[in-house]
Amino acid sequence: MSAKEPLTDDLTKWVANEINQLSSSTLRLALLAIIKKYQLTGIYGYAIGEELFSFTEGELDGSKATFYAILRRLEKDQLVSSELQVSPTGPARKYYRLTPKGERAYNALWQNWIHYYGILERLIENK
Amino acid sequence: MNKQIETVEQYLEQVGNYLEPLSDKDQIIKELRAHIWDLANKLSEENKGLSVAAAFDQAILMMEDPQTLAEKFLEEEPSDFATDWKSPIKVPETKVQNEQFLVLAVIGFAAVLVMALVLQIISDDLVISLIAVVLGLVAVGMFTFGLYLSDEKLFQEQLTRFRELFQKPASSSQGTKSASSREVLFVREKSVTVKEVGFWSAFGEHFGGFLGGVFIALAIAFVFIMDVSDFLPLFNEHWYTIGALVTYLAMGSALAYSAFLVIFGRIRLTRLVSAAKNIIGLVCAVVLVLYYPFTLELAILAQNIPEVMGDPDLLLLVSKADLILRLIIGISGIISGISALYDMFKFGAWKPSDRKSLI
Repeated sequence: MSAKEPLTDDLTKWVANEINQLSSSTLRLALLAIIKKYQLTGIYGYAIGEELFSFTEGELDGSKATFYAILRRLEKDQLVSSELQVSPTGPARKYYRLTPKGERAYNALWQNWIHYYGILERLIENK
Repeated sequence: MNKQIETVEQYLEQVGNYLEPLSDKDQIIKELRAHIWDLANKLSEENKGLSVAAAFDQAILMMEDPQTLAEKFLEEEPSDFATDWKSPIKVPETKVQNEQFLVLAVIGFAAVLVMALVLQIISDDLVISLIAVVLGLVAVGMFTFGLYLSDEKLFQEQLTRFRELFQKPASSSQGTKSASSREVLFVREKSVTVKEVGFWSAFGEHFGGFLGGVFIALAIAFVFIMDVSDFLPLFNEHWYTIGALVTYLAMGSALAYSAFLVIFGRIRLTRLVSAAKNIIGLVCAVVLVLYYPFTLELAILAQNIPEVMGDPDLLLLVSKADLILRLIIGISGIISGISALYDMFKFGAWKPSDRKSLI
């Protein structure tokens, strides 16, 4: 099949599924990276969404709030911890920080991303 | 409540409906509420001409569709329960719900058999016991089926299925930019404006509670007047005291429930209060079935009415009528018990997140 041939429905689904998985993993790592950046002060959900949007130039959109599900999972997996802080201007906000386990997981994940990206880059460039 | 908060609350209520099985649902909703608040503030700051109401409306439009957003949380649920929820979202809940109704019906049927046995022992009348079984099974079956049909959650699911028939499903992309975002926004806007609990249903519930309370208060007053007056000597006999007490208790708890409903309306605690009322109703009915004081036969014997005393057929009919009344009280008690269990299930004593299946 040539690259210009239109994708069939099945193939579109397959590609969409793969992209979903890839973007999900990217989002997970991006969230850990943002929380790590604000490790001292902690960072609350909406601010994470803004960082997500601005650093990824809108590729990962935090305004839809789906990333809260991942934050909740990270917290359940004890990779991040949260603390509820009262805000003088609005509702109380949950501030997130990486746990020591989360920092180790983030470092390992990022190293692996670099590693596998390097492998793919070499493979595809030498094709 | 002003317009924009009502819209936000509707959105969060819809998300909450899908998140029902998660134990930390309330925390998730709180965090999403804070997110919408921050988003609306940001939009308002960026565009000074935007009213607060418009900022909240726009913030809601920027949020993910309630079902898709809830699905993300369910997909990220660590237990194996999450995999059951992935496709389609409502199935395990429906399954557990169906199971709950099945258990309610089985418990009800068993209670009917026990009641029929008690009546058989008390009266030594096989016909009455057979009537008790038939009437009881029909009543329990119809009541449970009625509960099933009117169940809020199953009703929600029917509503969602309808919505899915007429609306394009929302995008399932993982927070990335979507080419069809405009379409998604359109679908979202429509789904947000669907009112799950309208003004009239809420009004009806409060008004119904108020009317029920008034009627029960009148009934208590009536029984009390009868009891203390010499109008009917029937109510002044010592052996009616227990009957009067349990009747007062049952009516009093129903009155307290009605008052609670009027004051607080649709809150989760109402379920618990309703369960307490129904348990009291069940206990009172059991006492009345076992120790039935308002017996017509004994009253006639006490009054020594010659027209009845001299007619054995009429006396037999009166004693049968007593048994039938006892049977009806028994069935009401069983229905009260089923309602109490139903309330406990709805309160959350039997959540799908706590367990997968009983069978």
